[in-house]
Amino acid sequence: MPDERATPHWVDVGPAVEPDGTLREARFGELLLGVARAEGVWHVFDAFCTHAECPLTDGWLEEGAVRCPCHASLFDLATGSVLAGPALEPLRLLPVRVVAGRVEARLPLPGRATGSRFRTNS
Amino acid sequence: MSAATWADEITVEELEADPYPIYARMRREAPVCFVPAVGLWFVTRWVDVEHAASHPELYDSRVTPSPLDRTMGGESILVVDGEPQRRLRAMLDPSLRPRVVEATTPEQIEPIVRDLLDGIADRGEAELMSELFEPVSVLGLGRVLGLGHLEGDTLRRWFRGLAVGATNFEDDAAKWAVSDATGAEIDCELGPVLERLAAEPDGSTIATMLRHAEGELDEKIATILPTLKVILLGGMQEPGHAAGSTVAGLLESGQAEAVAADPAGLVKDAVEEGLRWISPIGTQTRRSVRESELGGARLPVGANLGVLVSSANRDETVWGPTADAFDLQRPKRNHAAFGFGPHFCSGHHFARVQMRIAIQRLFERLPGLRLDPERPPVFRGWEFRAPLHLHVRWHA
Repeated sequence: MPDERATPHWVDVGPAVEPDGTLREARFGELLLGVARAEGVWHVFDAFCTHAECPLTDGWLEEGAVRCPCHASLFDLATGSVLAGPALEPLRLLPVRVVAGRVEARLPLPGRATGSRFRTNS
Repeated sequence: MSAATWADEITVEELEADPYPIYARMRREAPVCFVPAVGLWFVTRWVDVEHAASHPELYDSRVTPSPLDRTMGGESILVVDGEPQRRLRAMLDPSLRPRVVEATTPEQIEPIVRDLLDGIADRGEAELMSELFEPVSVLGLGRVLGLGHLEGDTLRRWFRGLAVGATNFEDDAAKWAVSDATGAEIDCELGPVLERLAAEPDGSTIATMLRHAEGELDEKIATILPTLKVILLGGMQEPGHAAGSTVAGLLESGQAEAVAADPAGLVKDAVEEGLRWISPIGTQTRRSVRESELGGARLPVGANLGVLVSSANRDETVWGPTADAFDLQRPKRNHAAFGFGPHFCSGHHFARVQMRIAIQRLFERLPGLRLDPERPPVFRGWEFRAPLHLHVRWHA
């Protein structure tokens, strides 16, 4: 068996049945993923905010965007772009597909998933 | 009566008993207003609180005189800005990063909560502040800091003693006596601990701070001790206090049954609403660097400000006409309980995770949780506010 961690691979992040506005988490080891549905589309992202690492899974959706609960950064779920600061770097989105009623995300190579550097709130 | 006149008559006792009606009147009539009893200009509206706390070039942290300096025994992270503050944050933040907290905190906190709940589950009644929330708070942080060898009661005494000094804006000699003695005891107790952790570093917050501090060991210790006392106070007192306020809010407002039916699903919302409703730390103190106008008031250079995050969290223009109510269903938006700007609370995620675990397990473990009707909770404090006691009953 090849080591599945050595190559990007698809993982199951839960059922694709909840309505728009759903924001939940999925964990794979130290990876914390946000799983969100907005405007009929599922999105999966590295849940640690690119500003100061607050888990965006503690935040909430505002139409097609996710709001950080700490400093109120707002990220577009479709593109990852920052709609409101203080974050500067975009949300790290993962490729997503829906297979047989389940949401799947493709994990990045180990070590690259959470590569942001931590910034203090200055 | 003019704003200046009625604000002149506000007493510390009135603030301690219930500051919220005073803040509400200020938001309406005099949103930035000098309060002689505590020597601070109170900043009460959300918009002004966010502005003042986020602009250190206009309002810095160097409040003079500050009860913090004497209480902490020197310059702590709370009273410096710019590069000195960034250096202290860089020492403190690595062990409190949300990514680190997510990976390590649950396994540190769960056994503490389980043991405490084991101790009371069969009784059918308890006083939750002293028997659950404060012990979880001090023991949890004690382990993270590297003070796991100290008794919970010692740590609780320490944060209480430091809190007396940190809120002594009125310069009360009896209060100084308490906090001076506490500070001396902490210095005496922690000196050897710091020396040991410098020689044998582990993953604790204190070891991390020592590794990042500059200079010889005695310089490192002198740099770290005041900030360590800030952490001992804020980190040990506040998560326990906020957990108590949250549960009191749930029980008083009749929303506890909803949480009891789905503790895992609703605990996050409950904690955030609890932090908004009774913010455990009421102010970020600031000093005007230059003459300025804020909330209709003209502030002179050197004016000391009490920037009231607790009042911002009740601002009707932000939270609507039900701002004073605890409401689990409140539409989500960012609250001010952890502050704004460069001094945003370093321990925010540690506090959140700890509170969530304590409250979730409480509702899972103690069915039919309700207030003891003969001993309702009594809240007290303006700078630090929480229930003095929280007597509850359940079906044992």
